[in-house]
Amino acid sequence: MKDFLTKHSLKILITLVIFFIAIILLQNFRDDGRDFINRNEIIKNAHFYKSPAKSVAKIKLKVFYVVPTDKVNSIYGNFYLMTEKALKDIVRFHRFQFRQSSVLQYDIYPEPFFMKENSIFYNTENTNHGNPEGLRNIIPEIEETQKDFLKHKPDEFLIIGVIYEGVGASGAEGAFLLSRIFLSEEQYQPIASTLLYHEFGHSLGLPDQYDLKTGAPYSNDIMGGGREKPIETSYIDKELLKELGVRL
Amino acid sequence: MFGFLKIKLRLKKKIFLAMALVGIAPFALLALLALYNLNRSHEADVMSIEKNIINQKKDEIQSYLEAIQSTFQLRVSFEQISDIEISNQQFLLKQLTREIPVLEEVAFINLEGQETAKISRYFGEDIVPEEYLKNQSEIKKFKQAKIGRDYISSVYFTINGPMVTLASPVLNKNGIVISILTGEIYISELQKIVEKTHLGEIGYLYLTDEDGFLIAHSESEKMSLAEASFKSVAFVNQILNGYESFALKEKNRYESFWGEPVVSWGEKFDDTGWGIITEWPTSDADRVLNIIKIQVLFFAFIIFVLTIFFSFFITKRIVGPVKQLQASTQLVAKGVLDQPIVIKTGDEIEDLGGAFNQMMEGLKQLDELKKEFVFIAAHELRTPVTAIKGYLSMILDGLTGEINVKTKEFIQKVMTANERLVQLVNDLLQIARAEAGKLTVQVSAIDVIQPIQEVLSELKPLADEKNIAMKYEVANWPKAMADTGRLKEVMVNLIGNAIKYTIGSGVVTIFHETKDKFLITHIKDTGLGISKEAQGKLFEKFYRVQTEQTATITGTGLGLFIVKQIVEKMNGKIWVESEEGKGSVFSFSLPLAGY
Repeated sequence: MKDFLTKHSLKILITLVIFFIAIILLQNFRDDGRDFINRNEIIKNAHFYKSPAKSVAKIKLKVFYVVPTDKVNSIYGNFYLMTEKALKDIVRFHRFQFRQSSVLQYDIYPEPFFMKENSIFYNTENTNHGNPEGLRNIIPEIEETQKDFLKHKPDEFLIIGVIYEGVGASGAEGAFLLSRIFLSEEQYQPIASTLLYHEFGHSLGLPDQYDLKTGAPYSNDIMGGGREKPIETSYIDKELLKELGVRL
Repeated sequence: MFGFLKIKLRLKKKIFLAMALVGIAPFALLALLALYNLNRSHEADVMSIEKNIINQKKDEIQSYLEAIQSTFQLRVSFEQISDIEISNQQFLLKQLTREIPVLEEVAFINLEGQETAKISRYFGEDIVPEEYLKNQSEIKKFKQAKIGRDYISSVYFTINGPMVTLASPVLNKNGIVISILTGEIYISELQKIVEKTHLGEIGYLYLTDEDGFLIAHSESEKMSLAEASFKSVAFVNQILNGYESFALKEKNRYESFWGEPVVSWGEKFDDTGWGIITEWPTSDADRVLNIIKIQVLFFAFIIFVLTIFFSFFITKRIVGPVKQLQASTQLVAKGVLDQPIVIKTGDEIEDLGGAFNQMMEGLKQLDELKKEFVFIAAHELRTPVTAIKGYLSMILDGLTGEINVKTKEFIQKVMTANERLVQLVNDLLQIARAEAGKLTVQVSAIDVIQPIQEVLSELKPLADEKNIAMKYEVANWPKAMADTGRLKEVMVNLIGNAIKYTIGSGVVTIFHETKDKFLITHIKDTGLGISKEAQGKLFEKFYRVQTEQTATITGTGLGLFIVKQIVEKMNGKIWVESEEGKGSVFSFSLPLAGY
């Protein structure tokens, strides 16, 4: 021990001094980055309603102004601007509700899409429950003829939006339909975008939040009583957001 | 404590260690202690500031919510269980809308869940037509208020701002629920409450709902209703999960949502589940602490440097004279007594130097007395031993008559012993002269070959007796500056030693070379050789190589000392190269003539 001290006394002293300085430095510079959890670990990407395996983190909405053969004379000339205005509103609303866990992008088919048949073929006379039959008949025709326009990236969730030159409003997984009247008529203007998002919500799997027979709401969000309010004051209910993976 | 001083360390290191112990260590310990307490006190201060601000803002927010809620708590003065008249309901709703500008919608609901009167901004703050009134019987706000409990919904985030739904029962005089008053209200007012709340220069505060979504932020540029959940920050997540900030004290420093290191505090609202969080960037919160720490570090460094500087200074002042004393002591050990030490420190060390010089003076006197005694003794001994030698020679030569063999043998031994005595006396005299400066040499340019050949002739019988061949490589060497007599003395000594220390037959070779204005003479033998250790002491007075083989060889140990004195007196040098068992080469140099 004595020999060791004799040989290395200066080194020991310098080590001690460095040790003190190191402690002082450690005291001075604490680790300030601890316990920060990567945001991506917490923010789960949004998914289809009650289907976590089906991501809707990136949504590509392809919108068509659909005109049956017998409605050619009723074409709404300003359809593009009208549709785009409502789509901008719903993109903004979607961003506020989904909180970065889902991004909505849209493409509008630049021309009216003329159907092969008359309105009656698409069963649009029956508007009970928003004309779901019409949606079922229209979508295959679009898919068949507009393959190029419908192209999208593999990680994008495709939704086909139909602004219909006829009556009705409905939505199902990956598609929705809304009568052009709701977007263009003055009486619906304050809630046009709300109605569009309501039907869009169905295409994400969101159910109606009101009694289909009595109209009594189960919630006052956009899928319930809130569908009759301007989009600026509407919202998606917390419980629905949970099932979409947005809220924890 | 100073046990280390007993450790065998150089004085320089001991002084440095002592300085370090006295100077650095206590300061470092003090600094550590101070920093530790400073840290703790600072943490407590920061915590206290953040906690106070949170408590203050929490109270303000709660008061605001309670105030809004209280406006919905309606009590009528009648005792009937029937609903309020519709016209009165509409009047009341208009009043409320005027009083509370942040109301988006307000309505009465009867006990069946049907809206009975409603005002909505959507309808231009006018009474909503009857066909738009909805049945709210399935909605939670109705169910809760109907059983007499106030209701406040989770925050929902609209494009216009965060909102909540409030509902309260309308009670009659007896406290019985007769209707429900509900409203949808913007809570943007909360932004005004927390706005401009600052901690230090850049600390801020924010309010989240139970899922960590931002409701309000004290810095408007950081306020975004589209931002992701703050539950991604572990600390916020734990606060919202009900942990107390005290329990998270060790985890309240982290990188914030905006990527800057912060120290934070937070609390949860018991009734709504919201969270209120303060985050104070450490660059601001710890600014003063960091300055103090840097100052402490700076002073620690300065003290460290000063300690080293002073320790070297003190070391030089103490160790320098000690080293001087040590060097002088070594000179005294070598017999140099005429170089007094000069120490000017003005302290005890200077006194010690003075005492040392006195001691050296005393030793010098003693040495001179010794030399004088040796000179006189040797000189006085020389005459009797020479007389003894003469008389013994006469006896052996038969001048005193015939002596028998035994007597002759004994006298021969006495003769030999006397020869050694004569040699010793001569050597002592020689040394005495040399040390007294009386060793004289008369240097002149001489040819060294002739004296060396004479020495070889003189020693040839001795060599022949031991069957040792002597070779001298004679050539046309330049003249050297030497004293012929002294040169012969040197050669007798060196060649004599070569013969003496060669056991059995062997060869002694003498040769020359010139190098750097010197004539070098080498005497090479095939004798016993000399160890490295002995080579270092070989030219010292009275030194003799003590080995088993040299034990029987007689000598005084003065020959090589005298040789060295003579060679150096002739401005030359002498040295030896040898290896045990392989012989030795003694060499000496003499200045060449003409240089």
